[in-house]
Amino acid sequence: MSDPDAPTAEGDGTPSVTGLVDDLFRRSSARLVAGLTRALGPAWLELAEESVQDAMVRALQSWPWRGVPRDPEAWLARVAKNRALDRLRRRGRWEAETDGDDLEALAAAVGKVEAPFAAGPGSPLDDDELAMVFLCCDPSLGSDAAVALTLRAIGGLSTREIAAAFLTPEATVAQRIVRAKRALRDVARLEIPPVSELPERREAVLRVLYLLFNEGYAATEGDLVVRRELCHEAIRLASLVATHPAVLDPEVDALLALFLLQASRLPARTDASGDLLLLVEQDRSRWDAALRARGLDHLERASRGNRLTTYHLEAGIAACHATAPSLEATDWDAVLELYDLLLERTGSEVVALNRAVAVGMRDGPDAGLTALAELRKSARLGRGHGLASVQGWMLERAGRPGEAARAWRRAAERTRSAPVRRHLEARARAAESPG
Amino acid sequence: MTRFLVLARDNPDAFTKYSPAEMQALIQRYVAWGRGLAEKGHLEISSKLREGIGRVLGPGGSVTDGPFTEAKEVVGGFWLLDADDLAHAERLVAECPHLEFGTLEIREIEPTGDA
Repeated sequence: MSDPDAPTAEGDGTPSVTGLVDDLFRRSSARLVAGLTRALGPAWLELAEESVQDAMVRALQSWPWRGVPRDPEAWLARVAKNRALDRLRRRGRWEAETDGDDLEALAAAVGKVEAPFAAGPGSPLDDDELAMVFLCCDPSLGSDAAVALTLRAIGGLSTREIAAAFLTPEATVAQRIVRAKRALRDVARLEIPPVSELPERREAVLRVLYLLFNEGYAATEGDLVVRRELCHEAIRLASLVATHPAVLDPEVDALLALFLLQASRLPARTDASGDLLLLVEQDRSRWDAALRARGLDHLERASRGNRLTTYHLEAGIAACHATAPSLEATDWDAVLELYDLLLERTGSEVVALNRAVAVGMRDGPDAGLTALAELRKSARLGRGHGLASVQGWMLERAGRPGEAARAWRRAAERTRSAPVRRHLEARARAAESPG
Repeated sequence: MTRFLVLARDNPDAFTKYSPAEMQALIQRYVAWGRGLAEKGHLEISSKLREGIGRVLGPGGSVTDGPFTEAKEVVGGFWLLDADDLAHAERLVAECPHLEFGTLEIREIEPTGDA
């Protein structure tokens, strides 16, 4: 290390000025909750979480005065385990019935939880954390509940942060998490699912991660910092699934490729406007080449299987954009072909809207407007601002600025997001006063 | 130089809403703040009071289990600072992250002896 006082880059794993590795609390929290839940069983997830939370509060109340301990992870693990034992004992004292659990055996299991952090990749800890991912994404949970629980128990986000990201009242998020934990009480063990159940369980995990990433990437409202956090967490967990020998699969690579390729474009999205509009205007030199390279690498791996999932198709489209030198020089033939396949599979109106953009880019704005006309009947698209935005954009390219301005205004009325509205109104004004 | 005692009071429940990352960030800011004071020679002592262990003794032999049980805010720790005057001491603690959720009480310490 050259300069010990130099501020460290995000997530590079080097100790900061205070001697704490970036992200240490988050990672420790996830791994300790996983380790304790493994020891006690999923029915005790809540107790595991509370004990880890206690340990971190203790650190917060002690380290500012006493200084950071030499081995902060071991400190946190020790305190969390002690708190877990305290809580178990208290429960044993006050409740005659503890659901038939043998408290002595539970306490012994807690004692064996190791301070998890010295271990490297491929360690049993990854198994614990991966098993936690499967638990939180259990198919018996609704997707809202699974997303919230994953973010809370593994991502280390507070209920308030999750609520901010999803524009949902904090109480609702808290309730979802409580219900999810209750639903998981009957799960006997924290484990990576057996091979016979793996495909179905893995699919459930990927669906949750997809939602998680999209919420962070595509939403136009909510706290920007937290939403970026969602993208990073989705990428981290997808990487965990994609690299673990017991569960890896080309489908996971496809999903991870999609995340990485989309995320490579994040740095150029300076305001919180819609993706579609911004792709046109993005400064492509600001795209993240390292993320793109990782994304293309996983796309390559994804092609090894014999299945073509919607994740493959979406990742393929993202790759077309991420590797194109400019909007015009994009391989629109390939993009259109992929959208056709995707539309066939999903029947999604949002996909159809994006497909219309590709038509407009390949065959000219008039063809694009024709493709759009077919979508006008859609009630769902009519409520949002996307359809009108795309219309405005195509009309402008077709040399019809007056109509374009009216479309932009229509779009502006239909968005709830203030930055998007400002953006659309600016486009409308620009179209109204050319030159 | 005058010495000042800074008492940090907080309500421990205030922390339960923080995420792990937020708690780490808070610790880092505390430590950076303390280090800044120490480097400029303002920090004499930084001490944490052990939680839940203590007694309050009163006249007539009354004994209670510390202030923890009833008080909403408890003294979690204290710093001993050297500053020019109260205004200076106030400036020194103004940046302390503790003020985001707790209170700081600054008291000037009377010199001992002939001073």
